[in-house]
Amino acid sequence: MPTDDAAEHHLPDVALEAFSGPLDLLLHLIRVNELSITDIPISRITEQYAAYLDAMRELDLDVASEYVALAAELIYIKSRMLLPRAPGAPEEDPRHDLVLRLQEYERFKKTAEDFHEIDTLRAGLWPRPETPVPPSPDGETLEVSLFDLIEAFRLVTDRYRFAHPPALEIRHLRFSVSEKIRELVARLEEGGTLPLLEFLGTMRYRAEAVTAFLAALELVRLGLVRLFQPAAFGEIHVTRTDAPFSEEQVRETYRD
Amino acid sequence: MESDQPLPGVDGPEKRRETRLEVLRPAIEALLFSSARPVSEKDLAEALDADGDAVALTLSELRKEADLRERGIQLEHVAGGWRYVTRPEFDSLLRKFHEVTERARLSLAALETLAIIAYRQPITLPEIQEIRGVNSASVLKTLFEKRLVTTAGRKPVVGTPFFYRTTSDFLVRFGLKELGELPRPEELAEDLAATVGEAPVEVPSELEAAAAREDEGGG
Repeated sequence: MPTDDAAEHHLPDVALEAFSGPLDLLLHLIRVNELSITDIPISRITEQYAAYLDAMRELDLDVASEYVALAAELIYIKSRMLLPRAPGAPEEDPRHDLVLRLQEYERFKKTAEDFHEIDTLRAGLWPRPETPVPPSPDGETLEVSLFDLIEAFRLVTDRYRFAHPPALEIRHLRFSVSEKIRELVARLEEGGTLPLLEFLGTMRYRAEAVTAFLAALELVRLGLVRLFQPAAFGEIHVTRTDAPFSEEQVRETYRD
Repeated sequence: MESDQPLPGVDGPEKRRETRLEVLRPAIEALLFSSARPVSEKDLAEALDADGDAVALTLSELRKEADLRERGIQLEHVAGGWRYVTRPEFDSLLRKFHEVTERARLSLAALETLAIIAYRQPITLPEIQEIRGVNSASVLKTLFEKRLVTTAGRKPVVGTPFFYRTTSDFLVRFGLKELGELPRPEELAEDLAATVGEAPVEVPSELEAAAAREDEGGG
């Protein structure tokens, strides 16, 4: 049984890309340490696993997020094993779920190895090459598979896109901030305060509401209005301040 | 085959189906020689207007014959059909002759994913990823492009992800007559039983039927 130190010195022996995923790496660590899946010394394995991720980063390999996620899970399990159980809490091994996943994954990994053997053996059997059978003279029967259809559809859409490049689309700028500033000020001069969210809600277009909102912010910046909210998450009210409003102020900031 | 019996009351002379081995043997050999894909017994019987049992008997004779006389080819029963392939010992000779150096291999990740689909089909991509603990979309795409897996409807859950299943090309590649012939390590068999327990028990046979339909319909 290797000591922790010896095991750590073994790290660089392994081609990192050779792992097909974080569970594969974890299984490998369990195997080289001659450990039992059902009784993993989490602390030791977590250290080694983290050391692998560090080595991967040093070699400038992208450490896929899934590897990091499993590292986090290991640390979480480790912390749960260190913590005393709450009195009366059911006795449950924090490693239980991980063990089940590892066992399931290992079974499929073994099957994949069997598949590989069968595939290698059978690659040596040569079938008759696919030769197109001459088409029937009436040309009526056509046998296609789903794959042929997908391929045909892809070709058609590619050709269509090539022949019909998307037209240049010009959209009018329909709303302007200065126009909305004027509108807001006019409304405020009429009636004192204005519920802003309700006002925005009357807009027909998203762009219009955004423009009006920007207008309100701009008015605050210019010191022409004040926003206040009587309750958290409630309606926002707009009122005029005493500062005089002039067209120049708007024209200075926004030229349409 | 029972349906081949003329119904009582139907007029016309009883049709004699071909049963003679000496007639069927060379004809079946010719049909199989001309086909790259496995040909089902049903298709052979239809093509020759022959008796189904006689076709089955002829095939087993042809297979024995190929095995006994130390020929360069053998007859194999895969994906619900029959086809001739070369014997494994001639692989290096053939590769040299046809100047084939490298063969496309399936990666470990692809084989893992394929194994999961084979034993748990129909299965969705999120379920595959749950087992593998890693993103499997590109691997699945490779398997799809190699025609080893295909879609099998959608799962009626949020997002309606595609179900995937293995194809008849998968059976051919791994030398299986049908899905039921998959090697079943005890634990995997348990899994299979558990999966089947949730869904209707006929799921595997439906899949086989679908694979068979694909054989008939596919080129």
